[in-house]
Amino acid sequence: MEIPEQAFTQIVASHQRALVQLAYRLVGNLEDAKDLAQWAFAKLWLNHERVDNERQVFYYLRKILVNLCIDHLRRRGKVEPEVEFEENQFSSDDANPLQQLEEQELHHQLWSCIEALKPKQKVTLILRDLEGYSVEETATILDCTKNNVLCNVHLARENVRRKIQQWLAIA
Amino acid sequence: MNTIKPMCHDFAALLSLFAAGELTAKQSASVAAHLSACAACRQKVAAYEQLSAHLTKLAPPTLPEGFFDDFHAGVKKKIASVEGAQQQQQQMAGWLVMVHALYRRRRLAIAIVTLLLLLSIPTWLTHDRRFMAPPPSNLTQLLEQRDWMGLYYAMRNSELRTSLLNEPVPVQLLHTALAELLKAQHQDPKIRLGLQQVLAKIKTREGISLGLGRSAQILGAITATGYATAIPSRQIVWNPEMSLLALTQVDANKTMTIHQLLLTTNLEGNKL
Repeated sequence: MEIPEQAFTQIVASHQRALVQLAYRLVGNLEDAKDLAQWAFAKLWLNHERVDNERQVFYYLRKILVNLCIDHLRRRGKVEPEVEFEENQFSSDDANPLQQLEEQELHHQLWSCIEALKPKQKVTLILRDLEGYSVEETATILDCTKNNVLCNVHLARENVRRKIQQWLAIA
Repeated sequence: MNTIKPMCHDFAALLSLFAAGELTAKQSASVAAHLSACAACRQKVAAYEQLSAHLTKLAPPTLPEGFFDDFHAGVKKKIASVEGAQQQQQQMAGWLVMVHALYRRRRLAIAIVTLLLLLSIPTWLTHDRRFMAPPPSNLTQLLEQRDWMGLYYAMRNSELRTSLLNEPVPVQLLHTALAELLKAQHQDPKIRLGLQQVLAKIKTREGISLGLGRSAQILGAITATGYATAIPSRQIVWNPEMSLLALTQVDANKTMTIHQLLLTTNLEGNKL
């Protein structure tokens, strides 16, 4: 569909935060996340004939972004993520400082485990368990079957669970 | 009929999906039946549920103030860069199409080039004709007319050269030519070279074909001594100063300098 300038501006405004967040969780760097999200919008503008409605815009943007992020991760290789945690956002108000510290360490460990996953498993886990997309939505974004999604998400959870249990046993 | 009771490893791939509620009703019922009898798998499911709870708690990134201020401008910049690259690619593609079209019509292209070459042949012939114009066949006449260019091209023609070299030429005329050659030494090296070539090939009256140095010696000695016919060339001891002085005396009132000649006949600049 032809996207007028004003409509495009509106699309950017309504999707930018979600896309930057998704890209950030995938690549672990805010500047890279911003850059990749901008490229996703640019590709939408340049390939506007591939989308016919808002639903397709929604999926097209995320599909493009995920592919860009996977390419980025493959080019970059494995580096230490810059993801930092807002302790107030995941700790309950009545939790004591020690418990908060333990949760921070656990979540840091969780991110390390997610970072270590294979790109497909990592993307599937983030889309399904962190971003909260349904299995169908995840399959549409990743352009694969629901069974592929279930398989990858299971493998990802199993890998993370095993590593976390090992870490807990050592800790 | 005996049925095989499912074991834990049969459910291993389903436990995380069961914890997340991603199984069908039939699969869930099957897993639930197994869990009721398997503590190890129940522990695993509990671990998955705990993991899921922790994953949902992972905080989204905190974006700095004004993070999206230049976001749209960045998108436009990227679009412009891609469109610029696409334009360049289109231009390149245009050139490639043209080259390809020429290659496909290479026979036509070859025919056009051949035709152009054929059309240019008359021009070449005209060009050559300037150099092929028949010079005066008389060496005496050439020298008298000071037609140095004509003499030069006549000498380049092997057939003409033979007849010209065999033609008896008055010694006085040769003296004049040598005098002009000597005067021209400091004027135009191309003219001097041309005349040297001519004189080097002219036979003296003794019938001996000599090089330039010997020709100059003989002519200079003849002029100096006045015994042109009496002195055999082999016995001459050349005195250049004397020759030059004598030549200057002889030719002072008779000849034009080469430089003056070229100016009057508008030949200056042409190769001799």
